[in-house]
Amino acid sequence: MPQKSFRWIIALLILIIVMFFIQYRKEALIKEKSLAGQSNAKLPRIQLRDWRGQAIDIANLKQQVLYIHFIDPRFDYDREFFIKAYREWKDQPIRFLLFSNDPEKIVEKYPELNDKVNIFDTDIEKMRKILGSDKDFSFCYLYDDDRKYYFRTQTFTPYEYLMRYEMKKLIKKEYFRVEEFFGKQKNLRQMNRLKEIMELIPQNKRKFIILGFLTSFCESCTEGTLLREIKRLHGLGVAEAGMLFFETLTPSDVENFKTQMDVKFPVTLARGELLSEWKRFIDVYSPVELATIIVIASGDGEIVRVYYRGCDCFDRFFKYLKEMKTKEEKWP
Amino acid sequence: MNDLKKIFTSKRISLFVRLVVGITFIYASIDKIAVPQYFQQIVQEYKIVGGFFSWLLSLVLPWIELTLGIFLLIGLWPRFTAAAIALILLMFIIALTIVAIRGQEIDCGCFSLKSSDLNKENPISLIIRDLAMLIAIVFVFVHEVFRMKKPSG
Repeated sequence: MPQKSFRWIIALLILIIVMFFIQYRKEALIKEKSLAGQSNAKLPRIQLRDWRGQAIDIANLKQQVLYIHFIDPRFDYDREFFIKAYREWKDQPIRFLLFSNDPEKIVEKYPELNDKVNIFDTDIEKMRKILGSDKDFSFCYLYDDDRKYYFRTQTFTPYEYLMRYEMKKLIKKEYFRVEEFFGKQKNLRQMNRLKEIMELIPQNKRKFIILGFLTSFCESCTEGTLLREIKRLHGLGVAEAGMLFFETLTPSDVENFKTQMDVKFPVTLARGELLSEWKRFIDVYSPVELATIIVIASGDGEIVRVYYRGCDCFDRFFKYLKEMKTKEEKWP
Repeated sequence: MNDLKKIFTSKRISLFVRLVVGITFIYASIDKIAVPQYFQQIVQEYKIVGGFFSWLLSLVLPWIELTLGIFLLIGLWPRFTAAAIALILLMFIIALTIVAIRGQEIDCGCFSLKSSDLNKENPISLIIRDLAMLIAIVFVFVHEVFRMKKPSG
């Protein structure tokens, strides 16, 4: 075979291999773009033009937190959600990107939305698709100053409930840290505030203690998932467990909860010093931040691990609980 | 002088340089061919060409890179290929110099277009990298010239 023909064949082979790689990379890059509204994803490079004609390149919006809101002008609550966020954070390094079919209406109602807010009336569907936002709902998203996904919520809930807390955490780095609640003490059994519940939890050096602090309970939420894990570990005889409820429940609620959820370990309502301490924290932070705290301790009460909202460790913590399968396994 | 000639006529060095530059060019073209619209955005970030030209460049340039990369790898029309690659590298160097003079920092987008891999880089370091490749490809070109001049038999 002449050398030149042989080279052409090699070239063709290389091209075929490269085409496979191109197809693979195409899928990976497009997937990356379509998953931008999910955890650990980065907002891809997008160029947009707002309704005033100003070109915005997402890639150039570094060093600023991005607040993206798909607003539905038909609903007052949606506008209010946005305007509260805007009024609270307008002086911070945050860029507001608002997607709405009706920018005139919004600007007419809120002339204060100055050049810090870019309103887009085109590319709404494109952006919704990229961020994975359902077009029938109003969503808003937070991206950190490196365009990395941080948080999203539907806006039918009040702004104060979750978004305010997440913004405070992202921008001001202010949030409840569990160390403040437990202080220097590392042993649950030595904490006077927890005496009531700890007396109900048997002391067994071969078992661990799982103690949950909850303000409310919803079966399909984090609390439900955690309860199932706690029940599993309690049932396996790996751990002793206990739960404390704050504020929203009455004694009869607690009894109903125990019956309905088939809970075989102690569940009580917080009282006295513990309750007043809790209320003191709620005044400083939001109830959301203190909603669920789960403490893992050794049999004699020494704290081993704590899960709470601010630690951003739910996935790790849940994996850790899931891996606890038998009595023989050493804790941690 | 003879030592220099020895280096320039060394088949092994030339083959090694061809492999390195060829694979680099093929690799660099993959993401750009896969999603040209991402590459177009990076081209626009350079603020040298815009609109239609940035679109044209983002469509054509990656295929040229791929073709030249393959040609260089397998040694097809090596003088022409080396000269074309040198020209492209020169074009990159000029673009990066303009960016450097403006004091801009850019996402190079030279290899990966994945958002997480894109970081603003100092254009000077990119110019140095391209200059090194340019020197390497000039070497291949000179080697091929020497090879053609070499009396047969």
